[in-house]
Amino acid sequence: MTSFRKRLASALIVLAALAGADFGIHRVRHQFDLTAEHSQTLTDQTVEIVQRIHQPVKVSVFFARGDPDRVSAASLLLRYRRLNRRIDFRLIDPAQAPAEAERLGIDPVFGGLAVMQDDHLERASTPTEQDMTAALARLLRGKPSSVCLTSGHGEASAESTLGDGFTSTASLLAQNGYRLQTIDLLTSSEVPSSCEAIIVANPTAPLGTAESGIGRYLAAAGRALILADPASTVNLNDLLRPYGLGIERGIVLENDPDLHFPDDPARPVIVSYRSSLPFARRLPPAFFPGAEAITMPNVHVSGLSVAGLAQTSPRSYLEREPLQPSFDSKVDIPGPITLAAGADLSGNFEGKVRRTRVMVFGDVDFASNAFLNEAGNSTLLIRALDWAIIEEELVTVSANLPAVRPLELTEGRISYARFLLAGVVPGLFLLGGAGVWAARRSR
Amino acid sequence: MTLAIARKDLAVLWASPIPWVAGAFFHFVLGLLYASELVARRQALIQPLFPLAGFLLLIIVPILTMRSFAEEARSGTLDLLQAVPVDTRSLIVGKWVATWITALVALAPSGAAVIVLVLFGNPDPGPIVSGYLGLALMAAALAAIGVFASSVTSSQPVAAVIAFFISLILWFAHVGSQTIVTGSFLAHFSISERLRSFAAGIIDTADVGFLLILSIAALVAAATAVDARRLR
Repeated sequence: MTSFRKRLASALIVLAALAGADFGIHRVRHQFDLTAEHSQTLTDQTVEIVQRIHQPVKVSVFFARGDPDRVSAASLLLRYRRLNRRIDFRLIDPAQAPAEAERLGIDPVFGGLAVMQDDHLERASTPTEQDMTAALARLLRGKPSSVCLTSGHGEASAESTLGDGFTSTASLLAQNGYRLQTIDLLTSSEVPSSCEAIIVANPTAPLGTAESGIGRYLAAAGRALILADPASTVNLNDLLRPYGLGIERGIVLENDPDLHFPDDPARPVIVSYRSSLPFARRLPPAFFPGAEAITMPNVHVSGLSVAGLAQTSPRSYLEREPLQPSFDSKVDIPGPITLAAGADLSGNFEGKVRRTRVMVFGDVDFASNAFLNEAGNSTLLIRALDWAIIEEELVTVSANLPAVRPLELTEGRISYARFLLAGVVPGLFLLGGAGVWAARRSR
Repeated sequence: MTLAIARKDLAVLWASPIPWVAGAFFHFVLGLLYASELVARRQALIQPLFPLAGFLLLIIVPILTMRSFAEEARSGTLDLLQAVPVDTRSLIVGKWVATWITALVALAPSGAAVIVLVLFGNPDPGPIVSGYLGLALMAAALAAIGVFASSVTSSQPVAAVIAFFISLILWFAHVGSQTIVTGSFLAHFSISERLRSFAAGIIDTADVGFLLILSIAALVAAATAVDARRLR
């Protein structure tokens, strides 16, 4: 063997050893998340859920090629895949595969994620850890959750296609792994045990015996979404009081012109959610067409935690006499006004944790046919329902989101940044080069 | 011996107009593009700087490395160098260290972007540290690829073009694989995907290992090419 062949052979052996080392390093990789909020690390709850996946899961991510969410979706799913190799994903441009988007029930315009295991399909609307993990959790449940819409007391109807009906809500729930069924609490006041959650959507007639039936259901680790409305005079406070919640009659008027619909202060828009509820972060803006106030009276019950979800601005108030709208400090309540709040009552019964969750909104219209598909109303409803219903280990999933770090830029500062970055720094290089050139010429 | 070679190459390189002009070009384009990103996002984010700087490194590092061996081979000084008892490893590593340091020095003034962020906002220091570590490791790999390209030809432009194309292929290795199935073989070699991870604020031992191994592999290939020339 010539000397060169020996060198070549040893080089090939070294390269093979390097390839082996690379393989080994990837097998025992470790990540250090240097971000301040650990925003690049999946939460412990997600890790727990992902590790429970034992069958292959395919995630189809539908985003247009230029959509900035496509990159973040790929990064996020890569983290899921690194946790569990049974999760595989593909990125699809819906414009190039409209039939596939339709088959999986993904809106080709807005995109989304379809999560499949065998024939079971779940969808997630946004490429966030919260939505993705919720979809996986629903997938692991193996069957759609049963949500019951109460009826018999003038509530919104899942069969009504009118503006105040709930047919759109039923479709939305079906797309998100929930099966909506109507239960009549007029003929039987007991909530069937098959209901994993109930929705009480603006009863306009007194609940009567149904109120105690709902109360018993909630006391036995029930889950409920209560949607009140200024249009109804039914008092739901007795039902809500054990959970540290209440409703204050009136109509909320928002006086900040940036936070209500044009010329309609009775339609407040919630842009940011200052809430400790885990699903509140990154919720899109939603609006409430005519809402009353939610209160959170102090109730000392062991294991109870109550948190507001959506608040209006300090310039808003609760108007007690909507026919003569002007703030009267004697009767009206100054803002900020809470429009939605959630309560979690956990207790240990015979060695098992039992949890009641109640989410109450001061408005029903945002979830009705007329307004559900406006702004982020549908996302708000689904997230609230997810929080109320999905298993305990998931409900605390709150993605470690990066903090918003605004850059205070004025025209002058932009010019300064451009001048420094694209002028001074390259200029110094040119000056240095000119100096070297001059020094060489002078020798 | 390695340090002596690195010192001599550094002196030769910085006495030429190449790093000055390449540095000016690098920062002019980077400054314009990054300032546009800041205006569009209005967030104190360093993250957009790294892919821009990474792509520009693909262009300037081959220019910095093209003369490592090609110029010495063309002028005949390589034969002289190989006549003295200098082992190939020291020769390769010395030239690589010189170009890597040059690339780092050319890269360093991009820290002005951090000054802008600190003056007008409150940036997260984590991604700044990890992103610059990623750029430094990527510059090391690109410099090694450049040294390899320079070792296989005696023409500087050809060496630069070879290095640029190898780097470009590695940069875009993930494209295509992402639209089919993840975790494909090609995506593994994507240096832009590795840089993205660093830019996001993550130091992944697999990414660090990959870039170091890529550098070593390119240097081993360069040593083999130089040996082939010596033994010819």
